[in-house]
Amino acid sequence: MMRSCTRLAGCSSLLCLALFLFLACGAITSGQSVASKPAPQQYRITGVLVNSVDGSPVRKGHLEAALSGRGRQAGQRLGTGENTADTDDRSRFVLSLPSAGMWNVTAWARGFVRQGYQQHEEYTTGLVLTRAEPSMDVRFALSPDAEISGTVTNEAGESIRGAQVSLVRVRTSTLGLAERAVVGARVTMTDDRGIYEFDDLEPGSYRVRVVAQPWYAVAARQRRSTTGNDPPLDPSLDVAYQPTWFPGVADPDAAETLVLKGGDSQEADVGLTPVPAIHLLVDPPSSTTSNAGRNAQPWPIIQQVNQAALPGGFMQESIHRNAQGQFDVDGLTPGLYQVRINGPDGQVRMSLVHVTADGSPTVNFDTASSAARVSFHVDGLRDALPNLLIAALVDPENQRVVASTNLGGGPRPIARLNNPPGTPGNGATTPEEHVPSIDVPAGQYEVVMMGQPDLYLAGVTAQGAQATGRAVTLPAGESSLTLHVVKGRATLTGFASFKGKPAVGAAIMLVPATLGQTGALQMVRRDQSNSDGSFNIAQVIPGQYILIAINDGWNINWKDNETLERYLAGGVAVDLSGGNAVAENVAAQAP
Amino acid sequence: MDALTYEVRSVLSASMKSLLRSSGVVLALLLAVLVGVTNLRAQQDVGFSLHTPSIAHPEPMTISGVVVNAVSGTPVARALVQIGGRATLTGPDGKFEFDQFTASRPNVQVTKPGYYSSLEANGFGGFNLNPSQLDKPLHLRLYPEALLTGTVTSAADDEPLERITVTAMRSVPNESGRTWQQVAMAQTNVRGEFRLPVPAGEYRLETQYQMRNLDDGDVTMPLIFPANTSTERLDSITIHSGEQQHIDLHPSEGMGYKVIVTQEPATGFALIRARKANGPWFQISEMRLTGDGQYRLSLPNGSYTLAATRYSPDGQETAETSVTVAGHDVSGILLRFVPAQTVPVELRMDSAMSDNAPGAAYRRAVMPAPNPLSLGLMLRSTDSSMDQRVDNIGPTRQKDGSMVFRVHPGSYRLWARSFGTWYVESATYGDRDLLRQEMTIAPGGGGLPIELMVSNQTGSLEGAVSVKDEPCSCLVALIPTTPSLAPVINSGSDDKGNFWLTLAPGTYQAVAFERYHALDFRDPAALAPFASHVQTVVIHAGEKATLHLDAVTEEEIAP
Repeated sequence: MMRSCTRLAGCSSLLCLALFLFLACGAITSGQSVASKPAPQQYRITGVLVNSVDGSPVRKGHLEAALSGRGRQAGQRLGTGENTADTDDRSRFVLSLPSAGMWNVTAWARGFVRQGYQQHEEYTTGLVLTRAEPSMDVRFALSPDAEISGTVTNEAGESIRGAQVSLVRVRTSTLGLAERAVVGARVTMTDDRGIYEFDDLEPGSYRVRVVAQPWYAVAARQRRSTTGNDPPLDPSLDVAYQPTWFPGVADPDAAETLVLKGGDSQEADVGLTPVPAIHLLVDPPSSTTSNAGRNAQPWPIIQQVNQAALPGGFMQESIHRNAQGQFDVDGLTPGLYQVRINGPDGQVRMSLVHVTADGSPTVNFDTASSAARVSFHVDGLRDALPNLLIAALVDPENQRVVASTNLGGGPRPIARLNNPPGTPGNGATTPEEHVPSIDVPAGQYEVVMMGQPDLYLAGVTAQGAQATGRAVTLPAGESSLTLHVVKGRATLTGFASFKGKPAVGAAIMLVPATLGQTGALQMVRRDQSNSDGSFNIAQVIPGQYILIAINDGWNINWKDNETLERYLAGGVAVDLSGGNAVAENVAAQAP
Repeated sequence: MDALTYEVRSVLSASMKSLLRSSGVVLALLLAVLVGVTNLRAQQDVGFSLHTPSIAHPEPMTISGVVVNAVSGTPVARALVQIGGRATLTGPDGKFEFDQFTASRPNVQVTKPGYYSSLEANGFGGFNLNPSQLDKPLHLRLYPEALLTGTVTSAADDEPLERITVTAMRSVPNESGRTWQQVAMAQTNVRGEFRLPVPAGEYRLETQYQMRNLDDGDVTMPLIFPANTSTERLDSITIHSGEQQHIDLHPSEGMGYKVIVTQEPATGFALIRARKANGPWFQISEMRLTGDGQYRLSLPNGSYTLAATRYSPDGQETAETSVTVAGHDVSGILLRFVPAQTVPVELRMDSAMSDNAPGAAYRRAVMPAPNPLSLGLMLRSTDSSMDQRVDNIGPTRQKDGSMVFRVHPGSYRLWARSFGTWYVESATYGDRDLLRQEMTIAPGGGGLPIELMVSNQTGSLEGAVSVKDEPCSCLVALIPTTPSLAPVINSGSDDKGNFWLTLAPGTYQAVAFERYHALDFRDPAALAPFASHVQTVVIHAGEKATLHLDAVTEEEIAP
C-alpha cells in the first residue's frame, strides 16, 4: 500500500481523485450487507515516454500492452491492435486495460528502438496490476536508434560496391549456449560509394564482417571460356578477398567489438586486401563421371564453413570442368570448406576440406574422408521422438555451434554446418538408414541439445570416440554417439526484494553449482524481476543451482567467472534435481 | 531442328550473341537465319553466315590502347580490358598492352564499376575487332553512370519515410515502341534518402504500395514520378552520363482499413491489383489469405478499382470489381473470375503459292505450311491502363488443333515476323485492317476470328555494309514503310560486310549500325539523326534487290 501511495503521488490529480472515489466506494460497498454487483474495476498504466539519453520527451510515440503469464520475455511477437495508446503533446500516455495481471508494455517511435519497459537484452520488467493496485505510473525510457556505418575500400583505395556487410550482435553477458546459438546477423550491401549503414540499432555490442570479391577477378573469370583454352589468368587478377572483420582482420576472434549506447553513431571502415586465389579440384564420385552428361549432371556446391555461425557468405567462385573431368573451383581463400555433390544414387555426398595458401587441394569423393563422421542415436525416451530435436556440436574454445542436425522425426536432411539450429538444411549423408549423422573436422566438441524445452541431455555415450559428460573427442572416420535424453524440466518462481521492498527490474541469475567443471552443465539461466519483484525461470535442466539477484545489475560482465563468483556467496542454493516447480525468494544484492 | 539451331548459333559472332541475348528478337533472328539457310541451295552461299571469333593471327603482335571516360575524355585507371581471352587492368594513364597476341578478330570488353561500356539499355558493349583495327592503338570508351538521388517524405507532414522501396524504370525503345525496364532499386534509410546509380537514359521513379505494419496502421500509397500528365506518353526524367539529379518524392499515407474480398470460385490464388480513379495500377503485395477464397487487404479512404488474375487449368482468368473505403472496414467484396475470351485465328494461303515459279516446289517440299506460331503472331496490349507494362499474348493450340488467342477485354495490336518464306499479306478482325489498325476486344465479345492471308511470294535483298569504307560486321535494320505487322526487321552483316534476307514485297527504309542501338522505329523521328545513312529499297516478289549501306558509327550513336 505504501508503494501504491508513492506511485500515486506522480499521478495527475484527477486520476488520484478518481481512484480515491473508487476506493472509497469499494469500502462502502464492502461494508454493506446488501449484495450488489461491484462496479467494474478500472485498470490502467499511465506514464511519460522519454528519450533514454537526454530525458527529453518522445512525441508521436506509440505503446502497446500485452497480458502475459509471468516470465514472458520481450522479443516475442506482440498482440496487435488492442490495448494501445499514443503519447500526447507532453509525451504522456494512458493505457486503459481490461483486467488485472502482469502487463508487458512495448513502446516505439520514429527514430527510436522498439523496446519493452526497462528492457535489457531480451528481458523486460512486467508491470503487475492487482485489484488492490489497479494503476501504475511509469517513466518509460526509450533508446534512440544507434548507428554503425562505414566505407568498404579495396587495395587501390577505390570504394567497393555491392560488398556484403554483416552485423553480428555480441551477447557479452550470455553464458548459455542455447542463447548464443540464436544470435543472428543483419546483412546489408554497400552502395555505389562503398558505404553501408545500419541505422536503427539497439544499444549493444556489435562486430562487422565484410564479404566481397575483387570485381576485376570476377569479371575476368566470368568472361573466360569454359573449354580451358584461354591462357591462364594473370596472377594479379587471379585474387580473392578473405571474409574480413572490422577493423581489417580475417580472424573473427581478433575483430573489434563496437559498443553502442542509445543514439550513438560509430564508423567502421573496412579495407580489403587481395590474396592469391586458390583453386580446389573436385573429383566427382566415379560412377557419376561415367554417366555424366545425361541424367546425373552432378555439380558441386561449395560453402565456406565460417567460424562465426553467420549466414554463409555467398560464394562467387567460378566452377568449370577440366579435361580430366574434375571440377576446378577458383577464387577461394584459405579456410574450411564444405563440398557437396550428388552421388550416382542421387544421394548427397559431403566432404570437408581445409584450403590453405600452400596449394590447390583435391577433394576425391572415392577415397576415405579425413573428416569425422559422427552418427547420433537417442535413448531414454519412452514416447516417440518429437519432430524437432536438435543435436549441436559446439567448439569448446569459442562456444560456437560448428554443426547441428535434427534427431527428431521431422523432415530430413537437416545435417548442416554452421547454421542456426532448426533451419532446414540440405546436407544429409545417410538418409536411407534414418540415422542422422554429420561430418565435422576431427577434434573436441561439446554436445548441446535444443528444440524441445521439456527434454534435456543427461549424458553422452560414445562408440569409436571419447565422451566425458557432454564433452566428446571425435577422431577422423566414423564414430557414434548415444545421447541419453531425459524428459521433465523444472520451473523456479519467486520474489526478489531489495532493502525490504520488491526489487524492480533486478537481474536474476540461476547459476549451475557445477559451473566451470569440464563436461558439466554450463548454462546460466536468467530473468528480470517484475514490478512486484516476481520472477519466473521455466524449463530448467534439473540439477543443483545457486540463485542470485542483483539490483541494477545489468551492466556487470557475467561472462567473467570471477565477477560472477563475487555474488554467489550472497545467493540461495536451489535443488532442482527433482524436475518440479520450486518456489524460492531471494534478496537482491547491490551491484 | 535442334541440331540446326545449334550449328547456326555456333557460328554467331560474340557481339551478335550479345545482341541476341539482350533483345527480344532472338527467336526471330534465328528463324531468319534458318529460313535463309533452307532457302538456298548451298550453305556456302548464305550471305548471312557469321564468323567464329578469335581466328588465330599468323604473326604474334602487340595490341595496345587507352580507355577513356567518354564524357570527360580523361583516362580511366584500373579498368579491366579483356581481349580474346586475355585480361589486364589499365594503368594510371588508362593505357593497356597485350604482347604476343595471336587472335585476328578478337572480342573486346571493357569493365569498370561505375561505368558502362555502352549507352544502350540492352547493349553489353562487347564487340569484335577487325584485323585492320589491331595495327593501331585502340581508343576504348567507358560511359560514367548517372545518379538519381533523393528523399522520400510523407506528403502529410514531410517526415522522412524509411524502408520505402524506390525503383528506377527506364524507358527503352524496342521493335514495337517503348517499354519500361526496371534497372535499379533501393530502399530509403532512416532519413528517407535513396541513391540509384543508373545508365544514362530516360527514367521514371516508382514507390510501391507498402503497409507499415502487417496487421494495421498506415499504408504508404504508390507513386510514379514524373506523374502521368499526358495520355499519349508518360513523362520521364532524362539524365545524361555522369550527371546527378536529386528528386524528392512525397507519397501519401493513410490509415489502412480492412477490405475483405472473396473470390469466386474459391480455389486458386489470385493476384490482386488496384488503382484509384485514373491513377496507376499497383500490386497489393501484402495481403492475407483468410481461407475460403477470402483475402484481407488494407486500403486507405478512397474509391478503387480492383482487378485480379488467377490461373486455372483452362488458362488465365480475370476479375474486376470496385470498392469504396470511407472511414471503416469493408467486407462483402466479390471478385468473380471469368475465363479469357477466345479469338480464333483463321489462316488462308495466297493462291499464288501454287504457281510454277522456280523454287516453288522446293519450298513446298522443305517448308511446313505456316501456322500462327511459325509466323510469330502475338497480340500486344496497347491499353495504357493495363499496368503500363507491355502485355504480350501468344496463340495457344486448342484440343482440336485449331489456334486461338485467349485475351481479356482491351485494345491490342497484332504483331508478326514479316520476313522469311511466309509473310502476312493481310490481316483483318471484322472491319479492322490489322496491318494498319488496332483491334479492340469488348467485354462479352469474342468469337469473331482474326483472318489472315499469308503468302510466300517473297523477294530477296542482298547487301553490303561498310563503316568508314571498310567492311564491317554490323547490325542492319529494315523498317517497312508499307503496312506490315512488323515495325522493324533486324539482321546483321558478316565480317565481310555482307547480308542476305528474304523479305515480303514492299518498300523499306534500311539503316546499319556499327554497334547495337535500340530505337523506337514506330516513331518517324527516330531515324532523323541518321538520315544520311538511311536508304530506301523496294522489294518485288521473286526478284533480288541489292543495297550498300554506310553504317552509323559508334561516335554518331553516342557522340
